[in-house]
Amino acid sequence: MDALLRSGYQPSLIPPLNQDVAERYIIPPSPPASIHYTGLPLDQIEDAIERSVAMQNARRVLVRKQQKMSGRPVTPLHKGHVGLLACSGMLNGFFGEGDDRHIAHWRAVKHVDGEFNEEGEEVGETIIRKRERFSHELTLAFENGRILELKETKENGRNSSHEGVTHQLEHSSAM
Amino acid sequence: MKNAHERFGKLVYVRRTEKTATNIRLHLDAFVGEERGKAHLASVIGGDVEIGAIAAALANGDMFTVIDPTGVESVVGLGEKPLLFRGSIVLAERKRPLRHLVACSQELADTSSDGKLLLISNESTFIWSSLVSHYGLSATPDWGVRTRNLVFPPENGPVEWPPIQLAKHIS
Repeated sequence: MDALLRSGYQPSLIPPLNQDVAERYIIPPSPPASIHYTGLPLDQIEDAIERSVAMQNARRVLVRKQQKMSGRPVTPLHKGHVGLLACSGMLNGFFGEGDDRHIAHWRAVKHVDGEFNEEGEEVGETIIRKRERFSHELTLAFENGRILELKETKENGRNSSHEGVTHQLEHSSAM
Repeated sequence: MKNAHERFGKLVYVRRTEKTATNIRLHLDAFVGEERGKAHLASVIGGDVEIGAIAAALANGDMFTVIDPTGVESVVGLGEKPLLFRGSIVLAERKRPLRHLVACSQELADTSSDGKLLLISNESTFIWSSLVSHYGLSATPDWGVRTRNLVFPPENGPVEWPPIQLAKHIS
């Protein structure tokens, strides 16, 4: 037994089998060994994960999709309808002709205005309120290289506030 | 797809207190992280109890260990207030459904960041679409900034973006 244990730790000590072996033990025939995997079926799981509610919900946050809308309205759209569609990025595309030919991109941007601290009902309690709102930004890139940007800008480095918002067209010719 | 075991990693969470020791190992389907122990995305599957415990640990900001398919280990954390998405995976051979948890760091989900933008895929269409959407750029999917190919199409019309498929990469 000790020799067997020693050879287990040092396989190099095991002598090779040869024709001079005194005793032989015949190994009886057996059917082919079958291997059973009892763990999770990972192949199926990997395919199913793509359809999982968790992954779909996470994808809404992680993949910034471009808005897309197509169809033919029953009646002509009013200016208000067109404005809503444009502001929501549904009408991003190429417009105009000649020098006015451009590509337009609208998007909604969330702004968080400064914190408003209030004293709570209990002593030492402070309620922190933040005002969140959405603002629309438009970027136009003209075929002749001109770029126009319509968006909120901060005044003199201060945080933008609803009252202090300025809308500016910033010009450049970077294209 | 076959041979999924070659693409799954492990998520290990160990917590020891005076009276109890918790040791949970889960299959890790997807992971996005940075050096210096910063994790941004982890997608794990397991049973009810394990997923519940891991969700509580991640919500608590606890660190955990990820083991990639090649066996390399890293200790990481998702930071404060990660976003947790839960779902179930029903398999025909199992009586009870498996639970699926996707956890994202606040930094990865932040759409208002003005400096660093984290993306979960390195496919060129996904990167370009994300940049256009995040920074509000007027652009089409055909435009290539590196190739300076900014050509207007002959006709006016909407910009059509192809559907984005996310593929798993091992790196």
